[in-house]
Amino acid sequence: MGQRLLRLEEGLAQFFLALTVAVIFAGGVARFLGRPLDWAMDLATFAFAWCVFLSADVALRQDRHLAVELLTGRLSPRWRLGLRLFSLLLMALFLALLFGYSLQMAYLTRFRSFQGIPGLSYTWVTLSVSVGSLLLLLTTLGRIRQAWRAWREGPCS
Amino acid sequence: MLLSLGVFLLLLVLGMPVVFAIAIGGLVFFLQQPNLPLTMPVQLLLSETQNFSLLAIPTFILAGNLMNELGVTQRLLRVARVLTGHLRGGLAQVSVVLSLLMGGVSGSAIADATMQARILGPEMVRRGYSAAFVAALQGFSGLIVVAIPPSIGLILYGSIGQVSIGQLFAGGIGVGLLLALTYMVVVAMLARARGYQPELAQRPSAQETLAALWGGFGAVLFPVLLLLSLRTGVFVPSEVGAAAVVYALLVGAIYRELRWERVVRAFRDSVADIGMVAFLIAASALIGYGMKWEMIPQSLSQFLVGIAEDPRIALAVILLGLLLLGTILDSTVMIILLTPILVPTAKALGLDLVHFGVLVVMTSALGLLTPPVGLSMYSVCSVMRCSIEEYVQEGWPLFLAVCLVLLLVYLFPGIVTFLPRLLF
Amino acid sequence: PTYTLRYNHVLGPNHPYHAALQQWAQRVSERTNGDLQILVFHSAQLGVEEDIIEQLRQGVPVGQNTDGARLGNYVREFGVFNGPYFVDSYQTVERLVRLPVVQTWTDRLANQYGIRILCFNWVQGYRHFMTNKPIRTPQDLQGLRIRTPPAPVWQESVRALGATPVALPFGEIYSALQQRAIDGAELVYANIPDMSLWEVVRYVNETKHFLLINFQVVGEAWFRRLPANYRNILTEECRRAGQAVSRQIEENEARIKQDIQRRGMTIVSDINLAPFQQAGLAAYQRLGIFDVRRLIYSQLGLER
Ligand code: NA
Ligand code: NA
Repeated sequence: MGQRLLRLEEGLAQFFLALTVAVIFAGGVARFLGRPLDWAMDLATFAFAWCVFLSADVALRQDRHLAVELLTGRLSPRWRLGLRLFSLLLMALFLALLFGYSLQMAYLTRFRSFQGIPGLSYTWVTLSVSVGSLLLLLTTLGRIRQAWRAWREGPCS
Repeated sequence: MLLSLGVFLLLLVLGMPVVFAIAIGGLVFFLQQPNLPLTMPVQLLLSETQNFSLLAIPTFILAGNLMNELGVTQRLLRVARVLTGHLRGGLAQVSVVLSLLMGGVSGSAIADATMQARILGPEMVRRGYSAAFVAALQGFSGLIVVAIPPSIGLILYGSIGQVSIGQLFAGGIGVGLLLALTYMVVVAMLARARGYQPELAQRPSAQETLAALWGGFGAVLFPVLLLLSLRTGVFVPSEVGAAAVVYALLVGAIYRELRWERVVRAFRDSVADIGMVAFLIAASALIGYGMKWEMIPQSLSQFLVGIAEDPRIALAVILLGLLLLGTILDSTVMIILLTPILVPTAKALGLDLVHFGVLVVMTSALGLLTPPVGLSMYSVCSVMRCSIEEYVQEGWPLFLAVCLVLLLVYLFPGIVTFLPRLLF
Repeated sequence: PTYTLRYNHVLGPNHPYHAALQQWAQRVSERTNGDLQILVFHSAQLGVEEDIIEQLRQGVPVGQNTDGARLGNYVREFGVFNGPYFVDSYQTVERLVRLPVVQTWTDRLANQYGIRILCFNWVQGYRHFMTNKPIRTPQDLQGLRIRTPPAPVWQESVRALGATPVALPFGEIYSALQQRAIDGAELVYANIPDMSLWEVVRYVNETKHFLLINFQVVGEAWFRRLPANYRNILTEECRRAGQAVSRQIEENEARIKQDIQRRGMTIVSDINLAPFQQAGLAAYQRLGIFDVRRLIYSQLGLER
């Protein structure tokens, strides 16, 4: 896993961002020229969903998600680590649930299609939540392992 | 729903990333309701990303990063330097004026604040401003964008409340200008107190000014061109960010600064920014749904309206309520949910609906900047990499400035109604 | 109450439908002694139409005011209700409701896809082209970029009539018109005061190309859980409220017309509809629902 997956994830997120922008721009220009693209709006939001849920994990890996550290900043390192472990476990539980139900949702929504792209089932965009939550779960599990190791070594150091 | 909010606040205090605290708090609501399947949170997360109007956010984030990488920012700064370098807190003043210009192009406070933090932030930090002050300044100057048309908030209020959008737009301009003026005074005062030095010993000569303007022509033209692209009907507001991306690439090419690795770097930064901001917007739909399901905003505002009879007092109570509600609710959600309840009340109280609307929208938008939940605040803090505590410490004078402006608008409705009366 | 239904619609709180839905809720509550409660949410507060339909399919106690284009996602034939000049009057809508063939589609929608239609006699009136130049023939629409809902049925219909359809969110109509990013929209009269459209377009051209028919839907699973008499009360009152509101909207139009003319809009009503009707047929062909149209017309005894 590791590096290859990481680069693939970032590359895909960037690709979908570029696609979003390109399609929105093309849609505006085409409409101005009197030949609007029926599919532009839907393809843009489709690509954006994939961009968001892949990027959510990129942001987590880079610790970009904001946290309020009012209380935790004043605790002893041991307590802080304990709270962190608790938070991470809860996050992992949430992400696991999200992953499971996103698969169910992807199946249930198979009849629904994008309005502007009748051939494209909504399942394909729902899967972005599945992939995103799975990646977030993997990252969180990695953090749990780190925190757990630190916890066990804690008293000695 | 109380349990849900309680869990959210508890997790927040325990230091869990805000986005997960919101999402898990929201999930608790769904766990309590046997009628609601857990596939719904999945649908709600997704649904936010499928809102075309929200695409202004990622596109402006990318445009800002590209301008940073392709040398546009540097040229913009050179222009800013010759124009305001001799003033105290020169770059901070530029931020305010830039928001005023951007206001005529963008309708979203979050997108504008994020873009400006990206474009001007790093340079300002290099010149001695604290990161938290820059975050607060860019966040708060984003409010100018809400007041100056086009404005998503005013369009929502006007179409739901059946109030003329043209008059609302005209009404916003006065507030936007007053807001900018007040910020500039506050910045000047802070610059004196905190010793934000002017960059130039004296006002530059006409020749220097012209040279800088010429060198930064494309950059200075940026808002003007964007405005033109809107006025000539090429792009709708949701698309302007994408146009800005293409424009940034073009200007970069003209300046011979276009390099593959710089573009890639801009994309890499943008993806991290978007992952934070957009995931948060998506997650806030989870907790928002519970509130809507239980009709909490409706009951709250009915309560607020019920406790006062004098129209002026009732208005003050409503605005204070919005300010409080804004600390935890998203401004768009508030406008959508409360407008239909507040507008008939305002009518019954005999208030001017345009004046009322501008006040309601601006007060709701202020909630984007107040802790514990404020999407603009999260976004600028994330870009500037500062904590919310630091942001509060540095940002309170700007908060007071907005409150002062809102108070003035409350006391003197003419600030809003002058232009609409002139034009319509 | 034992049963609570949350009912969502995308229209504003001042739209007559909102009051009508609340009226429906009140009558149902009265007749069930408060045991079946309906809470009405306007302005798409609970979510976009497609999301709500997916929810009710899973048994969530929600309902939605929707149209044939959306239901056509599941049972293709429903798309015909959104075809150009499909029906010409409210009386025809009332007859459609009783057609056996429509009943089979309704059953398929319920049994295969879990969507229960309570009634579909709610009519918002005719959709007209609203532009900055008068429209009297399909040629006049040539090259005009007209905002139209994104579903293929809508898009193809407007294209067949001669215009260039542009898919934009409903909320962006005003600003897109103001900035001339589009040349017009096609809407019903009630939308004009809702959005102060007189500020941005000058002509209402009474092309009457769609009679906008709405369907009231809930989840089949939830519906099945109701006692039989509650189910009857729910559908009966739905039909009753639909009839009343459709009539009321027709009456309101006269007042709206006066109001918008006073505000400077021009109403173009001297339009020969025959060329538009002829042009519209192409949409049924392209969407593959021409046979569906013929079937319905033969059952209604119409020669068109
Ligand atoms: Na604006
Ligand atoms: Na807030």
